[in-house]
Amino acid sequence: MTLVIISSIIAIVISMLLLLELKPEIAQEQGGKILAFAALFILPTAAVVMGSTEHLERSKKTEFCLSCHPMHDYGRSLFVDDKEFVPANHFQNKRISREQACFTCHTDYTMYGDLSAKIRGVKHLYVQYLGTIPDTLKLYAAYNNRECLQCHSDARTFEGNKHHKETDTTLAAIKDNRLSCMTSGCHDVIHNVREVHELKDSELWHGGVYAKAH
Amino acid sequence: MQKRTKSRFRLAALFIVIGMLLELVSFWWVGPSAFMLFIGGGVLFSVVGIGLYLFILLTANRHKSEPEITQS
Repeated sequence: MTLVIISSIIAIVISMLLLLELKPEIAQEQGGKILAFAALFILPTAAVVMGSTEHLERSKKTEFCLSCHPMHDYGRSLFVDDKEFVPANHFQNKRISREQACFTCHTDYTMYGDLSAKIRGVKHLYVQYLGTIPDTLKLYAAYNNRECLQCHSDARTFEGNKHHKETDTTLAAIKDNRLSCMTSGCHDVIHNVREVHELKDSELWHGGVYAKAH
Repeated sequence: MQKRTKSRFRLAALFIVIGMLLELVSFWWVGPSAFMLFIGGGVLFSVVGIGLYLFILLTANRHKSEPEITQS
């Protein structure tokens, strides 16, 4: 819908400017000056603002993240046929939005974090197109339990899990981010791209509309 | 309208048209390259065009407000 509106605005701007070019005498009148102001300031500004919003929304899409080659194996890790893989488990069972799979768990990453995160996002673009892509990609900071708890907090399976109540302080430590959800022995199988890279396509899950489309 | 002002208006309009077209093209696909085309092409040209237009308006008003000097 937003795209339709933006396209309409752009079409109107171009039409109005063509009209002013073909009949410049219009701009001499009061109404013509208002028309010119709309065509040269108001509508282009609206188009730029709406376009920025649209692109920002698009950058949340799984398709956007996976369009860069270094992300290829991360994308494949969503289709691993092994429920131990946390991202695969969430993605295949629709526990997260498939359209925004990456963004759901990495909400504070690059463009969506603070200013320094946004600058990092721009640096990623530079590295992607002009720089050298490192062999191993790492998060800038340890993964925060907050991203898990935005969905799992207050859930029965989380609050009632016997492993989360191993000691009196375990649950509190998880909620305070003092004990990572990804601690070795817990939910520690994440993207595991080295392992995923060795898998053949036939070993991946090929179910769901998303898999068929991509 | 002076010839110079007219040509500046045309230039501003041209920048805006190019910016709008690049913006439209940037919506054809999803990816960082589309975003870069939007920012580096669409937004850049549009902002330059809008800026030039506002500059013309500002300088045109300034010329109008300056009193005419007549020699007696």
